[in-house]
Amino acid sequence: MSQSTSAVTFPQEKLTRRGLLGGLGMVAGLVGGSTVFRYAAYAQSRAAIEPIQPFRFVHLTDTQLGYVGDANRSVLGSLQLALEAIGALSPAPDFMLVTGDLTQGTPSDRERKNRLVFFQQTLEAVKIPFYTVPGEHDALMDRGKVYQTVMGDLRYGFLHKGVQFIGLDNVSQGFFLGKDQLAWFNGQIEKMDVTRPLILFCHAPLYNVFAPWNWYTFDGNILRAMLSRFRRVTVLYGHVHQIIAHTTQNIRHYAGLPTAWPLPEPGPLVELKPWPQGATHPYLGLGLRVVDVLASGDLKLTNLLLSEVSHVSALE
Amino acid sequence: MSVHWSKWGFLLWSSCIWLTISPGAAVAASSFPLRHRVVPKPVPRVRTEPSIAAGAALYVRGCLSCHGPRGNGEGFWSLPTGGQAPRLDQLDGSAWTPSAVSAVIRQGGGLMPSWGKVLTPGQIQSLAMYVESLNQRVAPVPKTETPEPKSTRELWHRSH
Repeated sequence: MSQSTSAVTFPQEKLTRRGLLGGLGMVAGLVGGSTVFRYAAYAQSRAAIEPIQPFRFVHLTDTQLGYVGDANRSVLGSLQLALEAIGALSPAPDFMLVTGDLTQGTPSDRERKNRLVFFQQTLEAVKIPFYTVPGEHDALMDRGKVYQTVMGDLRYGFLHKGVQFIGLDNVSQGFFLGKDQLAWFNGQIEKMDVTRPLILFCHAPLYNVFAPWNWYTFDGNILRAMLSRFRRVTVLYGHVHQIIAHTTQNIRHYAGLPTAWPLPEPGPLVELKPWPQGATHPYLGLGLRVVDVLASGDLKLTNLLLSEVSHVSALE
Repeated sequence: MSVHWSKWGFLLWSSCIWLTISPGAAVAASSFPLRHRVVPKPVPRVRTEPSIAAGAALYVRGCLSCHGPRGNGEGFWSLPTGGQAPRLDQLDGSAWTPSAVSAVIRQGGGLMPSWGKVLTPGQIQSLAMYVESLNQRVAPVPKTETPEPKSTRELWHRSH
Protein backbone atom coordinates (compact mmCIF):
# COMPACT_ATOMS: atom_id res chain seq x y z
CA MET A 1 0.00 0.00 0.00
CA SER A 2 2.75 2.33 0.95
CA GLN A 3 4.51 1.39 -2.24
CA SER A 4 1.58 2.31 -4.33
CA THR A 5 0.98 5.54 -2.44
CA SER A 6 4.59 6.59 -2.73
CA ALA A 7 4.48 5.76 -6.44
CA VAL A 8 1.55 8.15 -6.88
CA THR A 9 2.92 10.94 -4.72
CA PHE A 10 6.46 10.72 -6.08
CA PRO A 11 6.10 12.95 -9.10
CA GLN A 12 4.31 15.66 -7.12
CA GLU A 13 7.19 15.83 -4.68
CA LYS A 14 9.90 16.13 -7.31
CA LEU A 15 8.02 18.34 -9.77
CA THR A 16 8.00 21.16 -7.33
CA ARG A 17 11.65 21.81 -8.11
CA ARG A 18 12.75 20.43 -11.47
CA GLY A 19 9.27 20.25 -13.00
CA LEU A 20 8.89 23.97 -12.57
CA LEU A 21 12.15 24.55 -14.39
CA GLY A 22 11.07 22.17 -17.16
CA GLY A 23 7.67 23.81 -17.50
CA LEU A 24 9.17 27.28 -17.60
CA GLY A 25 11.68 26.07 -20.15
CA MET A 26 8.94 24.61 -22.28
CA VAL A 27 6.80 27.77 -22.21
CA ALA A 28 9.77 30.03 -22.86
CA GLY A 29 10.96 27.77 -25.65
CA LEU A 30 7.54 27.57 -27.29
CA VAL A 31 6.91 31.29 -27.20
CA GLY A 32 10.45 32.48 -27.79
CA GLY A 33 11.49 29.88 -30.36
CA SER A 34 8.45 30.13 -32.57
CA THR A 35 8.46 33.94 -32.36
CA VAL A 36 12.09 34.09 -33.43
CA PHE A 37 11.47 31.70 -36.31
CA ARG A 38 8.32 33.52 -37.42
CA TYR A 39 10.03 36.87 -37.30
CA ALA A 40 12.97 35.53 -39.28
CA ALA A 41 10.66 34.07 -41.92
CA TYR A 42 8.66 37.31 -42.10
CA ALA A 43 11.84 39.39 -42.47
CA GLN A 44 13.10 37.04 -45.16
CA SER A 45 9.84 37.22 -47.11
CA ARG A 46 9.76 41.02 -46.89
CA ALA A 47 13.31 41.24 -48.20
CA ALA A 48 12.73 38.75 -51.04
CA ILE A 49 9.39 39.90 -52.43
CA GLU A 50 8.99 43.44 -53.64
CA PRO A 51 5.30 44.34 -53.39
CA ILE A 52 3.43 44.38 -56.69
CA GLN A 53 2.18 47.78 -57.76
CA PRO A 54 -1.07 47.62 -59.73
CA PHE A 55 -0.70 48.55 -63.38
CA ARG A 56 -2.30 48.04 -66.77
CA PHE A 57 -0.96 46.86 -70.10
CA VAL A 58 -2.42 45.98 -73.48
CA HIS A 59 -2.08 42.78 -75.47
CA LEU A 60 -2.10 43.29 -79.26
CA THR A 61 -1.45 40.59 -81.81
CA ASP A 62 -1.46 39.66 -85.50
CA THR A 63 -1.55 43.12 -87.03
CA GLN A 64 -0.23 41.76 -90.38
CA LEU A 65 0.77 45.15 -91.82
CA GLY A 66 1.44 44.92 -95.53
CA TYR A 67 -1.34 42.46 -96.24
CA VAL A 68 -3.38 43.15 -99.37
CA GLY A 69 -6.43 40.97 -99.88
CA ASP A 70 -10.05 40.29 -99.09
CA ALA A 71 -9.62 39.08 -95.51
CA ASN A 72 -9.10 42.69 -94.42
CA ARG A 73 -9.14 45.47 -96.96
CA SER A 74 -7.36 47.86 -94.57
CA VAL A 75 -5.17 46.21 -91.98
CA LEU A 76 -3.68 49.62 -91.18
CA GLY A 77 -7.18 51.04 -90.60
CA SER A 78 -7.99 48.24 -88.13
CA LEU A 79 -4.71 48.74 -86.30
CA GLN A 80 -5.21 52.49 -86.06
CA LEU A 81 -8.71 51.95 -84.69
CA ALA A 82 -7.21 49.69 -82.03
CA LEU A 83 -4.49 52.24 -81.25
CA GLU A 84 -7.09 54.99 -80.87
CA ALA A 85 -8.96 52.80 -78.40
CA ILE A 86 -5.73 52.19 -76.50
CA GLY A 87 -4.97 55.91 -76.43
CA ALA A 88 -8.40 56.58 -74.93
CA LEU A 89 -8.00 54.07 -72.10
CA SER A 90 -8.18 55.44 -68.59
CA PRO A 91 -6.05 54.68 -66.68
CA ALA A 92 -3.55 54.58 -69.50
CA PRO A 93 -1.59 51.35 -70.04
CA ASP A 94 2.07 51.29 -69.05
CA PHE A 95 3.00 49.46 -72.24
CA MET A 96 1.76 47.27 -75.07
CA LEU A 97 2.72 43.65 -75.73
CA VAL A 98 2.51 42.63 -79.37
CA THR A 99 2.65 38.86 -79.81
CA GLY A 100 3.89 38.46 -83.34
CA ASP A 101 2.86 38.62 -86.98
CA LEU A 102 3.43 42.34 -86.89
CA THR A 103 3.69 42.24 -90.69
CA GLN A 104 2.48 40.03 -93.50
CA GLY A 105 5.13 37.64 -94.77
CA THR A 106 7.09 38.47 -97.88
CA PRO A 107 10.04 36.74 -99.56
CA SER A 108 11.85 40.08 -100.03
CA ASP A 109 14.16 41.08 -97.16
CA ARG A 110 13.94 44.75 -98.14
CA GLU A 111 10.14 44.72 -98.18
CA ARG A 112 10.07 42.92 -94.85
CA LYS A 113 12.33 45.56 -93.35
CA ASN A 114 10.13 48.34 -94.74
CA ARG A 115 7.04 46.76 -93.26
CA LEU A 116 8.65 46.30 -89.85
CA VAL A 117 9.90 49.90 -89.81
CA PHE A 118 6.41 51.06 -90.76
CA PHE A 119 4.93 48.99 -87.93
CA GLN A 120 7.43 50.50 -85.50
CA GLN A 121 6.61 54.05 -86.59
CA THR A 122 2.87 53.39 -86.39
CA LEU A 123 3.11 52.19 -82.79
CA GLU A 124 5.58 54.88 -81.74
CA ALA A 125 3.01 57.50 -82.74
CA VAL A 126 0.84 56.41 -79.78
CA LYS A 127 3.59 57.42 -77.30
CA ILE A 128 3.18 54.24 -75.28
CA PRO A 129 6.16 51.87 -74.92
CA PHE A 130 5.75 48.51 -76.58
CA TYR A 131 7.40 45.09 -76.51
CA THR A 132 7.22 42.67 -79.40
CA VAL A 133 8.03 39.07 -80.24
CA PRO A 134 8.25 37.75 -83.80
CA GLY A 135 5.60 35.79 -85.66
CA GLU A 136 6.38 33.37 -88.47
CA HIS A 137 5.38 36.05 -91.00
CA ASP A 138 8.08 38.33 -89.55
CA ALA A 139 10.93 35.90 -89.04
CA LEU A 140 10.61 32.43 -90.57
CA MET A 141 11.89 33.38 -94.03
CA ASP A 142 15.31 34.63 -92.85
CA ARG A 143 15.46 33.08 -89.35
CA GLY A 144 14.74 36.48 -87.81
CA LYS A 145 17.74 38.39 -89.15
CA VAL A 146 15.80 41.42 -90.45
CA TYR A 147 13.51 41.37 -87.43
CA GLN A 148 16.51 41.63 -85.11
CA THR A 149 17.96 44.60 -86.96
CA VAL A 150 14.67 46.53 -86.73
CA MET A 151 12.85 45.34 -83.62
CA GLY A 152 15.64 43.96 -81.44
CA ASP A 153 16.15 40.63 -79.68
CA LEU A 154 14.03 37.62 -80.52
CA ARG A 155 13.81 36.64 -76.84
CA TYR A 156 14.27 38.64 -73.64
CA GLY A 157 12.90 39.24 -70.20
CA PHE A 158 12.08 42.22 -68.00
CA LEU A 159 10.63 43.06 -64.61
CA HIS A 160 7.84 45.61 -64.34
CA LYS A 161 6.41 46.75 -60.99
CA GLY A 162 7.04 43.40 -59.36
CA VAL A 163 5.83 41.20 -62.25
CA GLN A 164 8.22 39.11 -64.34
CA PHE A 165 7.85 39.04 -68.14
CA ILE A 166 9.63 36.80 -70.65
CA GLY A 167 9.23 37.10 -74.42
CA LEU A 168 9.90 33.90 -76.36
CA ASP A 169 10.61 33.09 -79.99
CA ASN A 170 8.85 29.91 -81.09
CA VAL A 171 8.63 30.69 -84.80
CA SER A 172 11.88 31.96 -86.34
CA GLN A 173 13.49 28.50 -86.71
CA GLY A 174 10.20 26.63 -87.00
CA PHE A 175 7.36 26.05 -84.58
CA PHE A 176 9.61 25.12 -81.71
CA LEU A 177 11.79 26.76 -79.07
CA GLY A 178 14.92 24.72 -79.69
CA LYS A 179 17.60 23.42 -77.34
CA ASP A 180 19.50 26.74 -77.16
CA GLN A 181 16.48 28.77 -76.18
CA LEU A 182 15.32 26.20 -73.65
CA ALA A 183 18.76 26.33 -72.00
CA TRP A 184 18.57 30.14 -71.97
CA PHE A 185 15.06 30.01 -70.50
CA ASN A 186 16.17 27.61 -67.79
CA GLY A 187 18.95 30.04 -66.86
CA GLN A 188 16.45 32.90 -66.67
CA ILE A 189 13.95 31.18 -64.41
CA GLU A 190 16.69 29.90 -62.10
CA LYS A 191 17.07 33.48 -60.84
CA MET A 192 13.35 34.08 -60.45
CA ASP A 193 11.05 33.96 -57.48
CA VAL A 194 8.53 31.17 -57.92
CA THR A 195 5.86 33.00 -55.93
CA ARG A 196 6.00 36.14 -58.06
CA PRO A 197 3.64 36.31 -61.09
CA LEU A 198 5.34 35.31 -64.33
CA ILE A 199 3.90 36.33 -67.69
CA LEU A 200 5.23 34.71 -70.85
CA PHE A 201 4.41 36.13 -74.27
CA CYS A 202 5.07 34.48 -77.59
CA HIS A 203 3.45 34.01 -80.97
CA ALA A 204 2.46 30.35 -81.24
CA PRO A 205 0.68 28.55 -78.39
CA LEU A 206 2.92 26.66 -75.97
CA TYR A 207 0.58 23.67 -75.97
CA ASN A 208 -0.96 21.67 -78.78
CA VAL A 209 -4.04 23.57 -79.96
CA PHE A 210 -4.16 22.02 -83.45
CA ALA A 211 -0.94 20.72 -85.02
CA PRO A 212 -2.30 20.33 -88.60
CA TRP A 213 -2.61 24.13 -88.72
CA ASN A 214 0.74 24.65 -86.93
CA TRP A 215 -1.08 25.89 -83.85
CA TYR A 216 1.40 24.40 -81.42
CA THR A 217 5.00 24.47 -80.21
CA PHE A 218 6.81 21.21 -80.87
CA ASP A 219 8.84 21.25 -77.64
CA GLY A 220 6.43 23.37 -75.56
CA ASN A 221 6.00 20.47 -73.11
CA ILE A 222 9.67 20.78 -72.06
CA LEU A 223 9.23 24.45 -71.22
CA ARG A 224 6.00 23.78 -69.34
CA ALA A 225 7.78 21.11 -67.27
CA MET A 226 10.50 23.64 -66.37
CA LEU A 227 7.78 25.90 -64.94
CA SER A 228 6.20 23.23 -62.75
CA ARG A 229 7.41 24.87 -59.50
CA PHE A 230 6.08 28.32 -60.38
CA ARG A 231 2.78 29.19 -58.80
CA ARG A 232 1.34 31.93 -61.07
CA VAL A 233 2.25 31.59 -64.75
CA THR A 234 0.27 33.16 -67.57
CA VAL A 235 0.99 32.81 -71.29
CA LEU A 236 -0.25 35.43 -73.75
CA TYR A 237 -0.02 34.42 -77.40
CA GLY A 238 -1.44 35.10 -80.84
CA HIS A 239 -1.27 33.14 -84.11
CA VAL A 240 -4.72 31.55 -83.81
CA HIS A 241 -6.61 34.82 -84.52
CA GLN A 242 -9.33 34.16 -81.95
CA ILE A 243 -9.91 34.03 -78.20
CA ILE A 244 -8.90 30.71 -76.66
CA ALA A 245 -8.40 30.16 -72.93
CA HIS A 246 -6.83 26.96 -71.65
CA THR A 247 -5.11 25.62 -68.54
CA THR A 248 -2.24 23.13 -68.43
CA GLN A 249 -1.32 22.10 -64.87
CA ASN A 250 -0.14 25.38 -63.26
CA ILE A 251 -0.17 27.53 -66.42
CA ARG A 252 -2.99 29.57 -67.92
CA HIS A 253 -2.85 30.24 -71.66
CA TYR A 254 -4.75 33.08 -73.35
CA ALA A 255 -4.86 33.73 -77.09
CA GLY A 256 -5.50 37.34 -78.04
CA LEU A 257 -7.84 38.89 -80.56
CA PRO A 258 -6.13 39.89 -83.83
CA THR A 259 -6.50 43.24 -85.53
CA ALA A 260 -6.09 41.72 -89.02
CA TRP A 261 -8.69 38.99 -89.53
CA PRO A 262 -10.35 36.18 -87.59
CA LEU A 263 -9.79 32.50 -88.35
CA PRO A 264 -12.14 29.52 -87.94
CA GLU A 265 -12.04 27.41 -84.81
CA PRO A 266 -9.79 24.35 -85.03
CA GLY A 267 -11.10 20.88 -85.69
CA PRO A 268 -11.79 20.03 -89.32
CA LEU A 269 -8.90 18.70 -91.42
CA VAL A 270 -9.26 21.30 -94.13
CA GLU A 271 -6.93 23.99 -95.39
CA LEU A 272 -6.82 26.95 -93.02
CA LYS A 273 -8.16 30.03 -94.78
CA PRO A 274 -9.68 33.32 -93.62
CA TRP A 275 -13.02 34.36 -95.02
CA PRO A 276 -13.59 37.62 -96.91
CA GLN A 277 -14.26 40.68 -94.80
CA GLY A 278 -17.99 41.37 -94.56
CA ALA A 279 -19.47 44.73 -95.54
CA THR A 280 -21.97 44.75 -92.67
CA HIS A 281 -19.55 43.55 -89.97
CA PRO A 282 -16.08 44.61 -91.12
CA TYR A 283 -14.52 44.28 -87.66
CA LEU A 284 -16.02 40.91 -86.79
CA GLY A 285 -13.65 39.00 -84.50
CA LEU A 286 -11.07 41.79 -84.30
CA GLY A 287 -9.95 43.48 -81.12
CA LEU A 288 -7.39 43.74 -78.35
CA ARG A 289 -7.00 42.81 -74.72
CA VAL A 290 -6.56 45.05 -71.70
CA VAL A 291 -4.78 43.39 -68.78
CA ASP A 292 -5.01 44.89 -65.30
CA VAL A 293 -2.49 43.54 -62.82
CA LEU A 294 -3.95 43.81 -59.32
CA ALA A 295 -1.97 44.34 -56.13
CA SER A 296 -2.51 40.68 -55.27
CA GLY A 297 -0.75 39.70 -58.51
CA ASP A 298 -3.98 38.43 -60.08
CA LEU A 299 -4.76 39.44 -63.65
CA LYS A 300 -8.02 40.97 -64.81
CA LEU A 301 -8.44 40.42 -68.55
CA THR A 302 -10.82 42.54 -70.62
CA ASN A 303 -11.28 41.88 -74.34
CA LEU A 304 -12.19 44.94 -76.38
CA LEU A 305 -13.89 44.29 -79.72
CA LEU A 306 -13.11 46.71 -82.53
CA SER A 307 -16.74 46.51 -83.60
CA GLU A 308 -17.81 47.94 -80.24
CA VAL A 309 -15.02 50.52 -80.23
CA SER A 310 -16.00 51.72 -83.70
CA HIS A 311 -19.67 51.73 -82.65
CA VAL A 312 -18.92 53.87 -79.61
CA SER A 313 -16.79 56.31 -81.59
CA ALA A 314 -19.55 56.56 -84.20
CA LEU A 315 -22.04 57.47 -81.47
CA GLU A 316 -19.77 60.16 -80.14
CA MET B 1 13.22 6.72 -7.29
CA SER B 2 15.61 9.00 -9.02
CA VAL B 3 15.67 6.56 -11.95
CA HIS B 4 11.91 7.07 -12.43
CA TRP B 5 12.30 10.84 -12.35
CA SER B 6 15.09 10.75 -14.92
CA LYS B 7 12.83 8.87 -17.32
CA TRP B 8 9.88 11.25 -16.86
CA GLY B 9 12.16 14.25 -16.86
CA PHE B 10 13.76 13.13 -20.09
CA LEU B 11 10.38 12.63 -21.72
CA LEU B 12 9.21 16.03 -20.53
CA TRP B 13 12.40 17.71 -21.68
CA SER B 14 12.41 16.04 -25.09
CA SER B 15 8.76 16.98 -25.64
CA CYS B 16 9.67 20.58 -24.68
CA ILE B 17 12.46 20.56 -27.25
CA TRP B 18 10.17 19.07 -29.91
CA LEU B 19 7.33 21.50 -29.26
CA THR B 20 9.81 24.37 -29.33
CA ILE B 21 11.43 23.46 -32.60
CA SER B 22 8.56 22.03 -34.65
CA PRO B 23 6.39 25.16 -35.20
CA GLY B 24 9.41 27.30 -35.96
CA ALA B 25 10.83 24.68 -38.31
CA ALA B 26 7.50 24.46 -40.11
CA VAL B 27 7.41 28.23 -40.61
CA ALA B 28 11.03 28.30 -41.72
CA ALA B 29 10.47 25.43 -44.14
CA SER B 30 7.41 27.10 -45.67
CA SER B 31 9.37 30.32 -46.21
CA PHE B 32 11.91 28.61 -48.46
CA PRO B 33 11.17 28.37 -52.18
CA LEU B 34 9.38 25.22 -53.18
CA ARG B 35 12.13 24.15 -55.57
CA HIS B 36 14.38 23.15 -52.71
CA ARG B 37 11.94 20.46 -51.73
CA VAL B 38 10.81 19.21 -55.13
CA VAL B 39 12.54 16.07 -56.28
CA PRO B 40 12.25 15.71 -60.04
CA LYS B 41 10.66 12.53 -61.20
CA PRO B 42 13.23 10.34 -62.93
CA VAL B 43 12.56 9.85 -66.61
CA PRO B 44 13.45 6.37 -67.81
CA ARG B 45 15.73 6.40 -70.82
CA VAL B 46 14.53 4.04 -73.47
CA ARG B 47 16.79 3.46 -76.43
CA THR B 48 14.79 3.09 -79.58
CA GLU B 49 16.07 2.24 -83.00
CA PRO B 50 15.06 4.54 -85.88
CA SER B 51 11.93 3.25 -87.54
CA ILE B 52 9.34 4.22 -90.13
CA ALA B 53 6.65 4.05 -87.42
CA ALA B 54 8.50 6.61 -85.28
CA GLY B 55 9.03 8.72 -88.39
CA ALA B 56 5.32 8.60 -89.20
CA ALA B 57 4.44 9.90 -85.73
CA LEU B 58 6.95 12.74 -86.10
CA TYR B 59 5.66 13.52 -89.59
CA VAL B 60 2.11 13.97 -88.27
CA ARG B 61 3.34 16.42 -85.63
CA GLY B 62 5.86 18.40 -87.60
CA CYS B 63 5.47 17.98 -91.36
CA LEU B 64 1.87 17.14 -92.24
CA SER B 65 0.66 20.73 -91.87
CA CYS B 66 2.75 21.94 -94.84
CA HIS B 67 3.55 18.83 -96.90
CA GLY B 68 0.14 17.21 -96.52
CA PRO B 69 -0.89 13.83 -95.17
CA ARG B 70 0.23 12.04 -98.36
CA GLY B 71 3.34 14.16 -98.83
CA ASN B 72 2.02 15.62 -102.06
CA GLY B 73 2.34 19.24 -100.93
CA GLU B 74 -1.37 19.61 -100.19
CA GLY B 75 -1.01 20.77 -96.58
CA PHE B 76 -3.57 22.38 -94.31
CA TRP B 77 -1.51 25.50 -93.56
CA SER B 78 -0.65 28.19 -96.10
CA LEU B 79 2.97 29.29 -96.12
CA PRO B 80 3.57 32.92 -95.02
CA THR B 81 4.79 33.81 -98.50
CA GLY B 82 1.94 31.96 -100.20
CA GLY B 83 2.32 28.84 -102.28
CA GLN B 84 2.78 25.24 -101.23
CA ALA B 85 5.54 23.22 -99.62
CA PRO B 86 7.45 20.90 -101.99
CA ARG B 87 6.06 17.49 -102.86
CA LEU B 88 7.77 14.58 -101.14
CA ASP B 89 6.11 11.81 -103.11
CA GLN B 90 7.87 12.50 -106.42
CA LEU B 91 11.47 12.94 -105.32
CA ASP B 92 14.23 11.77 -107.63
CA GLY B 93 15.72 8.85 -105.77
CA SER B 94 19.19 9.31 -107.26
CA ALA B 95 19.46 12.92 -106.01
CA TRP B 96 17.44 12.54 -102.81
CA THR B 97 19.34 9.83 -101.05
CA PRO B 98 18.43 9.12 -97.40
CA SER B 99 21.44 11.13 -96.26
CA ALA B 100 20.42 14.10 -98.43
CA VAL B 101 16.86 14.01 -97.02
CA SER B 102 18.28 13.83 -93.48
CA ALA B 103 20.51 16.83 -94.17
CA VAL B 104 17.55 18.97 -95.33
CA ILE B 105 15.48 17.95 -92.31
CA ARG B 106 18.38 18.78 -90.01
CA GLN B 107 19.50 22.09 -91.53
CA GLY B 108 16.29 23.36 -93.12
CA GLY B 109 16.40 26.17 -95.62
CA GLY B 110 13.99 28.85 -96.76
CA LEU B 111 10.70 28.19 -95.01
CA MET B 112 11.75 24.66 -94.08
CA PRO B 113 12.52 24.61 -90.32
CA SER B 114 15.92 23.53 -89.00
CA TRP B 115 14.68 20.46 -87.18
CA GLY B 116 18.19 19.66 -86.01
CA LYS B 117 17.68 22.29 -83.32
CA VAL B 118 15.00 20.21 -81.67
CA LEU B 119 15.18 16.61 -82.93
CA THR B 120 17.79 13.98 -82.14
CA PRO B 121 19.82 12.33 -84.95
CA GLY B 122 17.78 9.15 -84.45
CA GLN B 123 14.50 11.02 -84.84
CA ILE B 124 15.77 12.70 -88.00
CA GLN B 125 16.75 9.31 -89.38
CA SER B 126 13.27 7.96 -88.59
CA LEU B 127 11.71 10.93 -90.35
CA ALA B 128 13.94 10.43 -93.39
CA MET B 129 12.90 6.77 -93.53
CA TYR B 130 9.23 7.72 -93.47
CA VAL B 131 9.73 10.40 -96.14
CA GLU B 132 11.46 7.79 -98.29
CA SER B 133 8.45 5.51 -97.88
CA LEU B 134 6.17 8.28 -99.17
CA ASN B 135 8.17 8.56 -102.37
CA GLN B 136 6.27 6.73 -105.07
CA ARG B 137 9.22 6.90 -107.46
CA VAL B 138 11.49 4.78 -105.34
CA ALA B 139 8.85 2.68 -103.63
CA PRO B 140 9.75 -0.97 -104.13
CA VAL B 141 7.59 -2.66 -106.76
CA PRO B 142 6.66 -6.22 -105.82
CA LYS B 143 8.46 -8.66 -108.11
CA THR B 144 5.59 -10.80 -109.34
CA GLU B 145 5.52 -12.18 -112.86
CA THR B 146 2.45 -13.47 -114.53
CA PRO B 147 3.20 -17.03 -115.67
CA GLU B 148 2.90 -17.62 -119.36
CA PRO B 149 -0.05 -19.86 -120.30
CA LYS B 150 0.92 -23.42 -120.91
CA SER B 151 0.07 -25.01 -124.16
CA THR B 152 -2.83 -27.47 -124.23
CA ARG B 153 -0.47 -30.21 -125.36
CA GLU B 154 1.84 -29.70 -122.39
CA LEU B 155 -1.04 -29.69 -119.97
CA TRP B 156 -2.39 -32.92 -121.51
CA HIS B 157 1.03 -34.57 -121.13
CA ARG B 158 1.28 -33.48 -117.51
CA SER B 159 -2.13 -34.79 -116.62
CA HIS B 160 -1.49 -38.21 -118.11
